[in-house]
Amino acid sequence: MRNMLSIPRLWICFFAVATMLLLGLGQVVGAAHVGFADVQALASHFADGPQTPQEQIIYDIRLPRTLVGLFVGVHFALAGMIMQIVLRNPLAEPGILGISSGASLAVVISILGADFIWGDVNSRAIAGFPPELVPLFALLGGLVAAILVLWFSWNNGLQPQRTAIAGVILGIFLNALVLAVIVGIGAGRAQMAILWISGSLFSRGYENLQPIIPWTVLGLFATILIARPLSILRFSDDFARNAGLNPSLWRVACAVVAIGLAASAVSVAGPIGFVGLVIPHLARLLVGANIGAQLTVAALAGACFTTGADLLGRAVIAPLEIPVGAITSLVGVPIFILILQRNLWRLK
Amino acid sequence: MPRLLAALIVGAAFGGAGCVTQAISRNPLGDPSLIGVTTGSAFFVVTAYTYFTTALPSLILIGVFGGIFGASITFLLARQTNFSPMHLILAGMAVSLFFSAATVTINIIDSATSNSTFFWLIGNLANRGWVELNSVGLPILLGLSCLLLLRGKLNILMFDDDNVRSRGMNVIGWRLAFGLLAVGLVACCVAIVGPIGFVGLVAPHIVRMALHNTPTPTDHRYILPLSMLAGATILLVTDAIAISGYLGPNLPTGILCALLGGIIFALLFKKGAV
Repeated sequence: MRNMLSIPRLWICFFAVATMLLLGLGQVVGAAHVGFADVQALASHFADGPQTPQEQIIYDIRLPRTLVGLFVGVHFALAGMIMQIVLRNPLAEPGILGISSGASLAVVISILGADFIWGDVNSRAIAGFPPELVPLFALLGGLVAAILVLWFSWNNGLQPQRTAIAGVILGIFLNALVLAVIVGIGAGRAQMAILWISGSLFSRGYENLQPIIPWTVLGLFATILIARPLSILRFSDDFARNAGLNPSLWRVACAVVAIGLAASAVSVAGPIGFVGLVIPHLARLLVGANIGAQLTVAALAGACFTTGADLLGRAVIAPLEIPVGAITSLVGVPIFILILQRNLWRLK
Repeated sequence: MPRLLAALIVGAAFGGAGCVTQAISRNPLGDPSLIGVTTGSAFFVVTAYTYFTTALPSLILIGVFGGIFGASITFLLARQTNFSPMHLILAGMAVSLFFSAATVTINIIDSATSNSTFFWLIGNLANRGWVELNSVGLPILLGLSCLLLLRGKLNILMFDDDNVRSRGMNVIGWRLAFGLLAVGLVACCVAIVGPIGFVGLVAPHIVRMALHNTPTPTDHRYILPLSMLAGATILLVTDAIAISGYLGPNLPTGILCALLGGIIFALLFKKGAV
C-alpha cells in the first residue's frame, strides 16, 4: 500500500490530471466565446459530429490545436530528457543544440521549395507537398544539425558548455538561412516567418495532427525500449560496458530517437524552445532517480507546459495571440540561466 | 547615397565596438550581439516605438539604455566565474534569447506596428534616408573619434588587472568607459538599422589575421582603426550583395551578416579560440 502512494506515482497522477484539465480549458479559452456546457454537449454526442456553431469551433479548431500542443510537448520534453542523458549535459535541449533549427530549415525548404517549383505564385494556398514526408525531411535536417554541432564542439571529448555554445551559434546561422529561404523564395509569405521561427500553434488543425501521430506512437514505443539503456548511460562508459551495453552504439541509437521526436514536433509546430530543457530538470527534481518515473513525468509535464503556455498566449491578449514558443522562451531562459549559474558554482 | 553612408559609419561603429568588446572582456569571441547589447537595445527600442514615441532622438537614448541594461545583466551573471569567456558567451546568449522572445511578444501584441518592425528586426539597411543619418551620424562619429583617441589605453587593459593597476590606471573605470562608448555606438546603430550581429565579431579577427606577419600583431593602436575600416567594408559588401538581388529581392542585410558571422564564429570556435 505504501508503494502505491510513492512520490513518483503522486506526481504522475498530478500531471495526468493537470493535462486533462488543460485539455478541457483549451476548448474554452480563446477569441470566440465557448462554455464548458458546449464541451460537455459535444462530448456526449462526439461520434455524431458537432451540431452548434460553438461545438463546430471546438471540433474544428480548438480540439486539434490543443492535441497538437499536447503531442508536441511530449515530444520536446522526452527529446530533451534523452539528449541530456546521452550527452551528459544539463544544458542539452533540441532548441539549444540547434537541432530544432536544422529541422525547421529542412521543413521550410521542402514546403516552400515544392511551392516554388510547382505552386501558383498568385494563389495564397501552398502547393501540395505530401505532409507525411515533412517529418522525414525534418529528421534529416535534425540529424545533419546534430552531426555539425558535435563536430564543432568536439575537442578531445565533449564539454557541456562548448556543445551548448556551438549549438546556439548553429541555431542562429540556420535561423538566418530559414529567413533567407522565406524572404527569397517564399515571396509574400514573410509574415509567416516570425511566427514560424518562434514556434506557434496558430491554426494547427487535423492536417497537422495526422502526420505527427505515427511519430508519437513510434517515439513513445522507442522511449520505452531505450529506458533501461538510458538508465545505465547516465553513468560512466565503463559502467555501461560492465552492464553488457555498447555505450557508443546505444548513445547513437538514443540520440536518433531523441532527434526523431524533436524533428517531428518541429515539422508541425516550429521550434518551440526550452520545453526540453526545463521539463527534464523539473522531472528529476520531483521524482528522483527512477528513469521510468522521470520519463513518464517528463512526458506529462511537457504536455502540460506547452498546452498551458498556448492557453496563456491565447488568453492574455485575445483576440490576438502570443506564439507559444515566445512564452516557453520567456519562462525557459531564466531557468537556463539558473542551471548555468548553479552548475558552474558546483564545478568551482 | 544615404544608404551607402549609413553602411559605412554603421559598419565602422560595429567593427570598433566589437574590437573594444573583445579587448575589455578578454574574450576572442566577443561581439556586441553576443553579450546582450544588440538585442537588449532592440527590445527597448521596439517597446518604446510601439507604446510611447516614434521620435528618433529619444529612441536612440532608450536604445543606449537598453544596451547598457542587457550588457549589465550578462556581466553580472558572468562575474560568478570571473568572466570566463565560455560563461560570458553562454550568459550573453541567454540574455539575447530572452530579449528576442520578449521583442517578438511585444511585436505581436501590437500588430499594427509589426509590419514596419519586422524587416527592421532582421537588420536592414533599405530605406535609410538623410533624416536617420543626420540624427545618429554625429554621435557615432563622436564616439568613433573618442575610441580612436583613447585606443592606446586598450593595449594596457589587455594585461592582467594587477599589472594595469601598477601602471597607475583605474582598471574598472577604464573598462567601464570603453564599455559605455561601445554600447553607445552599437545602440545608435541599432536604432537606425536594427540588430545586425556579428560584424563586430568578424572585423577584428580579419584584421588580426591580416596583421599576423607584421611586427605588431596585437597592438590595438592599429587593430582598432583597422577594425573600423574592416567593419565598414564588410557591411558595404554584404549590403551590395543584398541590393544586387542575386540571392532574391529584398534580402535583409542582417541575414547575410548572420550567415557570414556564423561561419567565422564556428571556424574560430573549432580552432579553439575559447
